[in-house]
Amino acid sequence: MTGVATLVSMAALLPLGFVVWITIQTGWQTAIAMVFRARVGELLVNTLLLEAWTVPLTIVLAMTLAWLTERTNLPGARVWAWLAVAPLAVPAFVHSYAWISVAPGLHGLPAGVLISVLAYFPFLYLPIAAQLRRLDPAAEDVAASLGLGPWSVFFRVVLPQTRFAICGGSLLVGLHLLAEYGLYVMIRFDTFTTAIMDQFQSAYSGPAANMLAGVLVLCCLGVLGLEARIRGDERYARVGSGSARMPDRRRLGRATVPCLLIPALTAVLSLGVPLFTLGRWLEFGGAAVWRMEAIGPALVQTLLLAVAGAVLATLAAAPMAWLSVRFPGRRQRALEVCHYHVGALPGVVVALALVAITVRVAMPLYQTVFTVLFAYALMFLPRALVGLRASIAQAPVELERAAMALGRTPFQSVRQVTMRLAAPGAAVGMALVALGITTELTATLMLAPNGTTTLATEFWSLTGEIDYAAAAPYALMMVVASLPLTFLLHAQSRRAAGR
Amino acid sequence: MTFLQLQGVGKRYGGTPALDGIGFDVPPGGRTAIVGPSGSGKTTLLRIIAGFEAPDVGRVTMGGQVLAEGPAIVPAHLRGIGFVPQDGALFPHLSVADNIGFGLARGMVGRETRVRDLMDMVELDRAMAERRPHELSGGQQQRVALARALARQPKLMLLDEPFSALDTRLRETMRKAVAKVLRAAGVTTILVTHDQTEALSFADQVAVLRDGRLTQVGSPRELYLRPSDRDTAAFLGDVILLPADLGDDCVVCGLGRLPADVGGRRGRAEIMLRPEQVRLTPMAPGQADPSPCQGEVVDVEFGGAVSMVRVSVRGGAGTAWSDTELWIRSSSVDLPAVGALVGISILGGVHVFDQPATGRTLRAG
Repeated sequence: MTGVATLVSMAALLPLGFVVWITIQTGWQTAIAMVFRARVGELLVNTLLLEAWTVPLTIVLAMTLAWLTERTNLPGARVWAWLAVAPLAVPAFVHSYAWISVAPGLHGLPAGVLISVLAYFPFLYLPIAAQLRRLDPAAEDVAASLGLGPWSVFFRVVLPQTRFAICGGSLLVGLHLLAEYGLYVMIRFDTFTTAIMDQFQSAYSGPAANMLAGVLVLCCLGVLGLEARIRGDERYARVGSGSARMPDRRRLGRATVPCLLIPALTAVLSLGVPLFTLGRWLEFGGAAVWRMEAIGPALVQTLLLAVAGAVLATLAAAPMAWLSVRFPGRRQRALEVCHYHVGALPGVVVALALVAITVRVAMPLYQTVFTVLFAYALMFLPRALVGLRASIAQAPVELERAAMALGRTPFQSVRQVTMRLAAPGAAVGMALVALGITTELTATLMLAPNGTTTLATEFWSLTGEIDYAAAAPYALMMVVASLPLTFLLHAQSRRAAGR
Repeated sequence: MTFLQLQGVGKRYGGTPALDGIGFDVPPGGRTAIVGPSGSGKTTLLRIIAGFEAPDVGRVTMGGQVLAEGPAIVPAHLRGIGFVPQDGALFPHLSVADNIGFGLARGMVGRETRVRDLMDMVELDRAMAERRPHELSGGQQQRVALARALARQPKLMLLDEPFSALDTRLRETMRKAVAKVLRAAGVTTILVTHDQTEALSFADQVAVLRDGRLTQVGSPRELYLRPSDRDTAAFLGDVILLPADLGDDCVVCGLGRLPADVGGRRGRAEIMLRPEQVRLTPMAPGQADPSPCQGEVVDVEFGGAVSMVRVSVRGGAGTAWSDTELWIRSSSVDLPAVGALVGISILGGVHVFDQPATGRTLRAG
């Protein structure tokens, strides 16, 4: 396992290694001159402000929605739960496209924070809701019998037990904020990623882009370190035997109407705005925008790439997930960082590295499907890993030992017990990866073989030409293609919690 | 004197009644066990007393304060009632010491000392203070849960099958330890269990619950020897049930004439004996036996200290029931052989049920 995980880590280190190697080639003098300048400071402030506003706001929104849908008698809770996951079907740059269609004046940090929260809160909602369902309600009963009111019970018993879910989800959101490109370009908010892309487009593989990427990698390491610090190395397995009682749902009473406003407003902003905009552009464009000879191949190729990439990423993440749950330690943590950092690198850096490597070392692989899938597997490794790690943590090592005591070899017991129990989490991870690939933009643009088009690349080139109406069918199809995956994700997270 | 009082407490889930007209009193400092098979509603009753659920009807009062009057209830966190759930439900994110100190104010003076005292009280090694719940054994987890519940010095302690997850020997040790701690702390206690031995040995008052109704409330001895009906009798232990004719302070049955409190009734009735009330004495052939009744050993089941002996009763005292068969608990020392003749004598009185007799031999499990 360690061997395979190390191998995957080595592969994951390729883009970073490329950045370091280029830095050395550039020479320290030039590198330092490029990093320590006002422009980099400006980008750093922008990126940090974006993180500092978006992540806490997302946690509060996701927690509120999860609590309302899972632990109260909110009318239509199942529908609201589904609507809280559904924004995942709308790619971040489509959110942005929708918002600037509705309010063309939107730009800068406030717009960035607003759209980021709306686009990414399901990443936190899903794990928090799943964790709320898993909690043993007896602990809350005990806390009440020890004199804690409902608010104190929430802050001292419920919230601390959702810490893992909050950490995992925040990490995902934080990494997305660092890596997202299309969303911020549209609202003219500069982050490291948009700046790297600008540099790349003007000077191809110039050292300036690589130096910025270096700083971005440092930001990513900072996010990882922060998450690890807050998460700690504890095990939160439920203590005790038997199955937990179903948690009670709190009666909202007179607060029902104000509480209904929260999920309703969230749904209007995160789903209503994109769907309204799409509807308006489609109506405006009429039948003329449905050019099937371009749309058909893009759709088929997108789906094939998504499925193949998801399987590859999950297989690559499995050994690491197992190691990080069962044998947490300094070395595993280091390997895990290798797995994670690559997900925070913007697609353009991964793609850039792979372009350079294939051109120099393995020319036959340049611009092949293999290279694109390799890039996807690297970029979406964290998504696959987060889901797998959480679900393997749910399969206690005792079960594996029991299987071995019943005559299974260690490999068989992992496969028949742990893998079986981790399957729902693995499926969730796969769905997340496929979802990401469906809407992946930059790496696809740079690495895909000639003639390969995906929904995202077509959408992007049309919006680049300000042909918003012609882009609408592609946006709609990305949303529709992502819907079943989103639904699967929702269903799996319920099943994973045994409900 | 009454500390906790339940009057006509009822609760329905959907259309199904979970509890129906429950009423009993708990004296201050007493230990009451609510016992019943699974699904009898005992946990629901406990949750109503704790304040986690509201009854549909009925009233719960504690120390003169009304806790529940129909669906209007004092919420659990304002009741000051200690609660130890089935598997301890320790907070997985807190250490042992933080679990125990959870109910104490964070800035409380002498908080650490109090936590240490509580650990001593439940006989937990102080070295465990910084451990996490999952690093403890089942028995230790229950001790932590008990200490945590005792921290706020509750006047009433509720135990929801706290020993059921433990193995038999540990269960007995824990039961004694918990009883000792609670007695020392002077806390009124209610224990919910499906284990009748646990209920009889732990409590000074036992309430038997079946299908949401109380069938009987009383001291363990009274319930065991004078149960109100056949099902309660069988639930609390093995029984021998026999049809009998009632006489003056005696009954006439397959075992002859036996002393009993018939309460002035006449005619046929069903009587109950516990198997340990029957004693067998070996008889030499041809020897006169002082026992009022004899039988022949038909089967012997060895069972360690105590064995089960099946005896076919021979017409004692010329009654109508001469073909009775009994399973009797007998010391394994000097077990009679199959086919041997034995004298049968009865220790203590027999219990007469109110219902009419049906005539069968029962060996309850």
